[in-house]
Amino acid sequence: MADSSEPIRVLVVDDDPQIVKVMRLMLKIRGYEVLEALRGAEGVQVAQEKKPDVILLDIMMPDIDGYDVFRQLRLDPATMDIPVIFVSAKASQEHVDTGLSLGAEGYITKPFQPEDLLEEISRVLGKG
Amino acid sequence: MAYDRNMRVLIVDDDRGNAQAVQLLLEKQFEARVDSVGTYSAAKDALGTTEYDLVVLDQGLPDSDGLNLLEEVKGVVNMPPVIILTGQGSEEVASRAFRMGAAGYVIKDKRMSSLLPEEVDRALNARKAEAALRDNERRFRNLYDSSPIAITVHDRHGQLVHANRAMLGMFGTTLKDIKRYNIFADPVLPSDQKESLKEGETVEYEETFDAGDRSEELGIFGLSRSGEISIEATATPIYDKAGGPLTGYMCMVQDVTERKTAEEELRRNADDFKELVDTAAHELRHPATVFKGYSLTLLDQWEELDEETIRESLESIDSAANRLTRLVIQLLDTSRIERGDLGLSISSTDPSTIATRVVEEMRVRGSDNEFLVDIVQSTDIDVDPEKIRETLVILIDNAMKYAPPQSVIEIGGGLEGGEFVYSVTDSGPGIPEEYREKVFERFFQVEDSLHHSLPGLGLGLYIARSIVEAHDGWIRVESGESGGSKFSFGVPVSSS
Repeated sequence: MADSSEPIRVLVVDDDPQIVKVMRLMLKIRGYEVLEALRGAEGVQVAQEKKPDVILLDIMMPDIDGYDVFRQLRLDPATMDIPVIFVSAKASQEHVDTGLSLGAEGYITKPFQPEDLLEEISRVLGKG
Repeated sequence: MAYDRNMRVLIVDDDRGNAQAVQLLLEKQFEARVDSVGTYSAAKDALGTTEYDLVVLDQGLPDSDGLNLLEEVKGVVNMPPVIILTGQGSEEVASRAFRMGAAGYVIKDKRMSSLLPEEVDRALNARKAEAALRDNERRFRNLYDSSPIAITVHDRHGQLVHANRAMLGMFGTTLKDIKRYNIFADPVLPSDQKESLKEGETVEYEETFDAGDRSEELGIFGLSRSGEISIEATATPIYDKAGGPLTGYMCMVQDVTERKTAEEELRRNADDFKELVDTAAHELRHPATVFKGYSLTLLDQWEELDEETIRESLESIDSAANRLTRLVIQLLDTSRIERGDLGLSISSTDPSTIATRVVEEMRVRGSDNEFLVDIVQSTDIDVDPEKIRETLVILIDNAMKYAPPQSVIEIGGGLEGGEFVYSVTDSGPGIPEEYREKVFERFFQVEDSLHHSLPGLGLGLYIARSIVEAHDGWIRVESGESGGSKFSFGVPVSSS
């Protein structure tokens, strides 16, 4: 559980509004503060402006994909230290390896159990 | 010795006694029918009127040297073999006789009665062998010319020197045109070499064949007048004689275009199927994620959720289930289309009602786009209402995918001639001209400048086109300079 005095801020970047909506509910009910972006470019922008504690990043998006969003985040000193967890329907080991080899802190495949997502967030934040 | 028929022999000898002895000998031993003349000129006349199987010729004739007859008939077609008789047995006459083409040589002495039959046998056998060889050659040439299998003959560098009719037919060309072809060079080239070769370059394959007299399978690519054809050829090296130098190749060529096309089609289908399964698996993860997320949250956190959140969650589950249903319908439709059985059930339908219902459905689904419906209706149409509804859903879904948030999507419809034409217009980025046909193909998705495709099965427009075409209608997309896409489709008002 997050510290109630200062909620952990999670940025969800996913082009599917339904997915964003369910993740918002899952996270909010457990005390996280949720930031949202429906496009890759928007995700980079929100990350730079709001400096979330962790980013949940979809891979397949129409404008720029999650891999490119990740690269842009790591190139900017303002966002390079924010842990990133890929949350993708690309479930093959190949994709997981690609995501992790880029340097992402975590990888979760859709569909996932809410508990798995929460555990992964805690783990990358070093509170697991 | 038996022959097929009584052979005809001409005896040319001015020595009547000797001629008679020869005649008796040939009649008795060979059952020959014998004519006998005594002069050179009479012999010429006889040869001009009758076909003989054998000539027994005395060298010393009253009006000429008998050997002159050899000179005279040399090169005449069907010239019978000639056996020379001579009184003066000399090496010189014998060698001259053979040089001039005599088939045999017998000295008129006591041994003639035993030697002459031997010489006759030998001469006739040699002639038979020659005839058999000529026969084989003729048969082979017939086979080569009239064979349904395309055959080419090449020199030792692979250059084509001759091609049979089947080959010319296959390429739709003449021998003159085909002569520039080289079995080892473009445009007739082993497939594995095709890529690496530059124009005008040739490859010598001699070493491949020098290893032995085995045949080599060549995967060959060719061009015909009517377009590209795929051919496969088996090249067999031809040697001068056993262990001798390579003189060329003979190729049996097969047109495998149909087979290659079928293989290609099969491979593409397999690729398509794999892609479909991959994409479907990917797409199914979305509703599954929504189901899991809500159901487990509702189960675990029920007490802490307010009524509004619970209601919204259930609505979202319902909406995800609808999405899942649409996926399943698309997969089923694709399967039906591939089987060529879309199974339309035509009924008289109000075209306006279909459109308004679809739009209602879209609004319920929760879209931030605004829908503008403008259907000018004057008559019912004979269509499968469920399929036309599905087509509109696909087009509107598509418009929503590409249209900017809060923008207007227009749904139009009206009679145009004998057709009812629907249209769906968005203000999205539009479709580049080169893709306007391709968007209706299976698995085609317009990619953005960074080549990232949008989620979806890539089947929607393919299904839409199949449905419209099953109604004997048409579908197309237009895009303006400033973007935006207008998909329209028309179906005949009356199905009769």
